[in-house]
Amino acid sequence: MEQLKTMLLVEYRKRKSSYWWPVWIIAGLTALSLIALLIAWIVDSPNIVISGMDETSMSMRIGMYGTMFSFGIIFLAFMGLGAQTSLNREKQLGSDLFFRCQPVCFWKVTGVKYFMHVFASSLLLLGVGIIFAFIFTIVSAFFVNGFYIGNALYGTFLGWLNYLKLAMVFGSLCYLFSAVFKNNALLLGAAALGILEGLFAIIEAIFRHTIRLPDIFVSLGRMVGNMGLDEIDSVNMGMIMGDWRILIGFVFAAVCYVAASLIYKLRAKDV
Amino acid sequence: MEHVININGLTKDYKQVRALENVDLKIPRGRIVGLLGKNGAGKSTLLKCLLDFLKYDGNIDFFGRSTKDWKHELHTKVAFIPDVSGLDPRLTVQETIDYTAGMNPTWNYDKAERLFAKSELPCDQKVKTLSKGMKTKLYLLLTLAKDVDILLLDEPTLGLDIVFRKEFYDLLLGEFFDENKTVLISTHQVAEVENILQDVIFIDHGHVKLHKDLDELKNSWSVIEVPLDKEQDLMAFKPKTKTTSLGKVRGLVEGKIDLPGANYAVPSISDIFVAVVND
Repeated sequence: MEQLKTMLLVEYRKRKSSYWWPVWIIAGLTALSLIALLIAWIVDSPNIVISGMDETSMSMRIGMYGTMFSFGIIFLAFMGLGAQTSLNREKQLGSDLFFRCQPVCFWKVTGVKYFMHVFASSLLLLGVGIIFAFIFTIVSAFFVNGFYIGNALYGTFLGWLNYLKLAMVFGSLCYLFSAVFKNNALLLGAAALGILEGLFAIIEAIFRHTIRLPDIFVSLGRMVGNMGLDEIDSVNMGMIMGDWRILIGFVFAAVCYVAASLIYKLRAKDV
Repeated sequence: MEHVININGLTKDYKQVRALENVDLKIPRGRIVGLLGKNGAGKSTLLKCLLDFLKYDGNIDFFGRSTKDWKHELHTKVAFIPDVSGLDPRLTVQETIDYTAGMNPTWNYDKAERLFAKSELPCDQKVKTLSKGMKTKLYLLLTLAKDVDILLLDEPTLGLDIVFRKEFYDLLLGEFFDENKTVLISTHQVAEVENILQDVIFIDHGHVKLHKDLDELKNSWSVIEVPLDKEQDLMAFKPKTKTTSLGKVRGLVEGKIDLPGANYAVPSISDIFVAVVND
């Protein structure tokens, strides 16, 4: 347990700034939005209307759900940019032997790296979401009749679950790219998938579309399950989590983790 | 004599290049052993094979148990300091200490506190801001506080000034070494470690050329100095190396010989190394 705590902490310390960048960007955007709102309020009291929403409390839930989705995109973008570093940075910095000389099981090492790459930022996102939900509710209280923090937090939580699903699929893929490619992992990984997709299209054309090869990017998207964006006015927990395709996402994530770890192990021995 | 490391038939290839060939070695407990060789002789490869960091053919045992069986637990018994200051530059000194302490069940907190209190290392500074000497010192202190049985050092003082080099070896002898601990130092700076070694291994082109007790080795060679006009007398003993200066000829010969009018000296390890490697 002591080792696990130590490893989690050191992985965080090694990439502290990359975890916090999205938070600073969101904080900056929020500050700008609040300033804009303040100016608009001074110039002319704004009239906020969310069309089709009968209940203000429901609009708080949807507002926070949508906000979390936007925040999640920023976090995912940084996760993609950080794909290169998750399994390659220590080798580049020449500190890999120091970490390999510690008495710790290989799978624990890769497990911690995987967790920190894929899910650590989700904790920050949750924190940012909760703070933003309070700000959103307090600011909204000036314009709507009531303080609907419960619904705002519920929307935050649903948005966070949605992010977890996205992070699980996209982050696992990035982790695999990081193991396969020593440099420009995200770019080369995406290019490899694009080439594979192109090959599938060519094969299908040769066989006059008599065989049905999967569309890679669409298939990846399906593993996230229902994101509730089509029925946003009735978004709820059952809609976000009650989709069997998430199970395929879990299996995909596990396969990515195991494959990436084995490739990393093979590569590490090839010094 | 108990051997803590047993190497049998170790062979390592890097694609087309054979880095080590059929190496057999037995390293006894409680000795400071020098692994001496030129650049590219196979010293670093040998140490990395010992720690199972590379794929290899052959068998390596620590305390009678194969490295393959030890897996990560080997690092509770064996520590390694690589040839570059390989600490993570993104961490501070204190974070690096905390990390090593948290990872190693054998971490000796009292010893660590004493060593780091004396060290004057700036704990709140990032490792990347430290000088090479300070980084090496930090690495050594982290290793000493781990309380392991075997220490593998790969060119540990490369690029350090003489003050840091002296401090490094003083710490090593004062804080680590005793009759139960074993140190294997790889270096090509032969003269630097001469005073602390007990055994030497000469390695060249992936082959072990020699493995001997240092005193025994020195006693089996002689440096003979004769005037220039007696050079032919010296040449009769087929010296392995020969230098001429200030009207004298110096030669290194194997064994003890008696040559009238000659001066005798104990050979340095560098002299013997050059003679053996170039043989």
